[in-house]
Amino acid sequence: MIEFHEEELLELTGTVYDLSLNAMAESASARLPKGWLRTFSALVAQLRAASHPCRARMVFDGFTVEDGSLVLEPRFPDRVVHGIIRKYRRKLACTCTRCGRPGHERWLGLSRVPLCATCYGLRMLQTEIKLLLQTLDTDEPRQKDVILEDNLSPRVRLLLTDSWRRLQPEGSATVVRCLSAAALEKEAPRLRSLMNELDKQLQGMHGIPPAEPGDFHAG
Amino acid sequence: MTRTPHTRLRQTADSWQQVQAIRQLAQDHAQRFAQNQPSLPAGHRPLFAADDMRERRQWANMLTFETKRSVTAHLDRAEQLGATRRVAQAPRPDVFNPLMRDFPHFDEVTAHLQQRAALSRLGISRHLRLNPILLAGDPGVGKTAYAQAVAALLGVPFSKMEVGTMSAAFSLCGLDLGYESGKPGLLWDLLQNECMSPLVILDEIDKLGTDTHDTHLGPLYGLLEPVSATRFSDAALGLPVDASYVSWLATCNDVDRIEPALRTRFKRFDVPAPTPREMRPVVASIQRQIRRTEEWAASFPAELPEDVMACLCSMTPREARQALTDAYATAAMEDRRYLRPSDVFLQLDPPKPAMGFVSH
Repeated sequence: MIEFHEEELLELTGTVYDLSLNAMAESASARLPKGWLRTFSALVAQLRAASHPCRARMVFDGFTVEDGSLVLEPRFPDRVVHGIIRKYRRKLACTCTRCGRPGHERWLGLSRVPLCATCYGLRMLQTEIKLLLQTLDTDEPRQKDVILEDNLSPRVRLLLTDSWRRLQPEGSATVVRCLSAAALEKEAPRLRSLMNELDKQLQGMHGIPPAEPGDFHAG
Repeated sequence: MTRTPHTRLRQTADSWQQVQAIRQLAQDHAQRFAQNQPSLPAGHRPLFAADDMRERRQWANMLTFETKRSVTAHLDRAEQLGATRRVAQAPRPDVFNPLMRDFPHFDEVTAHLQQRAALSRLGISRHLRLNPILLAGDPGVGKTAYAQAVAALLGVPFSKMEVGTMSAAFSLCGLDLGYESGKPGLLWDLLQNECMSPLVILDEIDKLGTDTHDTHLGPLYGLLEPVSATRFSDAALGLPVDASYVSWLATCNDVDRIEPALRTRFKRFDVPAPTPREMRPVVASIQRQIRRTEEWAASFPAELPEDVMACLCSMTPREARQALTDAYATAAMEDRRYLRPSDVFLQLDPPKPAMGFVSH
């Protein structure tokens, strides 16, 4: 039986460094947001290019996503590897987790998630529609008689362009736009359907908490 | 936070991108929504198909004059009301809170209704569809009153069928108009309404017994299954209608007397007799109802004295109602405008004389 030396075995099967990189690359699709996969592949390719006999025994333990940023910290002290990881971590921090386009970290509830303007807008729209539909369920009819334009978010206003009514308070010269409860009731099926569609669209947003009323933080 | 020109610029670009994305989404969704949206009014569902109606009219033309006239009158009325009808919307779960208050011993049933309402509200149209419910419990615990309260709360047309006195299946599903006494059944009549989700209360369903081989409740087997109920045909008219939105609520004293095939179609709830603590809101509810329905009740104070309440709390709801009415009568006879605990007494059934030999 042929006996291999350890170095020869490593040359045949690949170094521990390469093998741990392969393992990371394989688990990426299940553990990372869809929008980050491309950048993460580039990171793995860069690390693979940095493979050298001096790093043959270095091993990557794996990675996690915490508070909207990639946590990949090799235990070995290697400036080149750490530099590559730092560069890509910064890049990922401004890459939308949903679509991979440029974005920045935004607050969603209590967590920060890197999102582009489009994805963030849709996600906030989902929350705001949910909040608006909840006003239909209020027990106090007076509260839901009329909703003033200013009390609605700019995103929701874009959806209700045809339902506005002009209102001029007595003794006031200003005309305000408002939405009556009846008009909102009429629009409710469309809004519910839109919210369901957004639910489906945003379901794949890995690492993004589900929409809840109260997610109002500066983006 | 100070806003640098760069921050403002970024926010403007950000907002503009959001606006573009939302406008695009709204436009695309509006087209899809319009395509998928049936031409029905909101909250409506078709009760019968136009083809079926046409077929029935052709069939009616072949009948004898009297029968044809009767069938046509019923079909005309159905068509006047429209092929589509309103389906009851699921109320908010908190709408059931009065039931929780007035019927505390039915809390399990009320919780079930709340859950079903919450589930139905997840859909876009929020159509209410309840599972058939069977309330089993001792006589006088308030099953029928609860069923009626549910119907009133849901705001749907309802009808109560005394199953014990029901003559045959045609009470429910009609009798062929070829017979002299032929006419559509109760279910057809209920569905000839602007709302197609009525509530049918089958009272004392166990009084039918398991040993009868007639077809008293035969049609119920199909009606309690949502799939087969979508094409229910009345025996008199034969027009298939969608009865799947009809809610069924049955009451019984002895579950074992109900045929197993029928029993398993219901979601069964065993209703215990209310405890004295639970009786308090029940008695208050009875008192409110008496004040609402009886003119003379205005002569007495709205609230019951505490000692009278305590006496009534030891009875079943039915006994409490009888005892309370009797107490008011006693007070009126004595020219009083208030109740005393001594007015409240329970009329117990006299003991039956024993049969056979009596040992002395």
